[in-house]
Amino acid sequence: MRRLGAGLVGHARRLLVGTELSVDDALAVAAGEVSNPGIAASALRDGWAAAEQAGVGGRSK
Amino acid sequence: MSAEWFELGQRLHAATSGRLVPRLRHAPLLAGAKPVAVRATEQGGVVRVSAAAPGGQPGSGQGLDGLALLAGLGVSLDEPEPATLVTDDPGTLRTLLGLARTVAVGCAADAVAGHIAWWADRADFPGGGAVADVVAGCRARWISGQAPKAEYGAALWRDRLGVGDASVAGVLDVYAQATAGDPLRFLSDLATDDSFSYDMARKAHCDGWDWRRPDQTSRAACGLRGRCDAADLYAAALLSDPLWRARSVHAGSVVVGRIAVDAPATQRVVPVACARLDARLRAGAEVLWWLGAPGEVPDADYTGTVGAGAVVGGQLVLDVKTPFNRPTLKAGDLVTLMPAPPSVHRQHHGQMVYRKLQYSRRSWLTSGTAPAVRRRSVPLDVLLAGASDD
Repeated sequence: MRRLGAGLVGHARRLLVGTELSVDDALAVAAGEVSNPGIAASALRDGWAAAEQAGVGGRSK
Repeated sequence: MSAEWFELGQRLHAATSGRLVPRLRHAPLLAGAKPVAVRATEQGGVVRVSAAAPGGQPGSGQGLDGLALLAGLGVSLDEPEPATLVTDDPGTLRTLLGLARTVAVGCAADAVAGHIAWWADRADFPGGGAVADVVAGCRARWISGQAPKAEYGAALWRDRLGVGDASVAGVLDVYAQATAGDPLRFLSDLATDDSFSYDMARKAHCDGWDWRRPDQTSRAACGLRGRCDAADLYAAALLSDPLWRARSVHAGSVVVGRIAVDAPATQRVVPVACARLDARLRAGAEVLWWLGAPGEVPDADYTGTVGAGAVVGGQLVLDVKTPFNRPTLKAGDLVTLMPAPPSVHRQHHGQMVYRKLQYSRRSWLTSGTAPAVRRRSVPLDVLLAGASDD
């Protein structure tokens, strides 16, 4: 797994203020390695899952 | 709203995988029939233009020579078809417009200047095909593993898309990738509007109308109406994309829920228990809905209207007025709702009415008088909801 760039780490840190998640936590939660019931964790997982499924065909409205 | 966290999840995936992550499944830019890549810079009062067309060598010129270069690439109101300005530099159009303003009315370069003015006019129509900012297009289509600020640079996208040519010709290579594949729904409708607008600009040029003069109020009003319609249509175009819909669940504009009680086909109002409280669909909102998840679209979808909403037992329940042609719904069925797209036909009709008002002496648009205010009663629950701090 590649390391995150300093710019992205700073960006993620700002977005995670108030969520009690560190950037490393966010990465682990998004990848599904750690479970977390919070709203932020749920959104991170959904975003990660959407990225994984993005190559799979889908239909449009 | 958790859309920013959703996007962070995508961004972290892109960073760890080292690949671009699609933000959309469809192209957010329509491939123009006549793209012309342009970069323009100003230094010491001298404007330098570099430009290239597909398959040709890039050229450059200063001042009026730069405009002659563009004319040679088909950028002129004398041409029956418009050229698409393709650029990766946000300052290019402003610089070109400044150069166009220096051209005297009626001189040889006036048709080129008029075409640049048309670009400037159309640039703020969302989803329009007259001007393509490839950096904005790439940002709309993909997420990189970098911080968002880094995505404003063209070099990042050239690198990620494997475009080695940093000259103006390379802009066309980035454009080709940003426009590849099926475009978003409604982009062709927006392109039709571009074509109509170009024909109007050509006619105005032939009639000797000077684009340098400020718009009359009536003309500005028509332009504002057109821009608002384009913005509504582009918002609907984005929601037509399954990946954007997945994100929009976290922004509240797409709502996922379950049918709260069994509803036979004859029952008009169907309660939907939403999965989240932050739905942005309000009472009276026209919606498009279907059985299934946001990304799984069955053949049948239905229109409806949100009747009322209430929080019951900590869960938002929306009453949706449904049409008669819907199937029987069972309690627990998964349902997705999103704002109904605007009617393109209705938009065209509305703009046509505005254009007629523009040329009618007695209309409120040309007489300068404010139209009569029409008021309507507002339901008490809407007033209470607006006044509430919750």
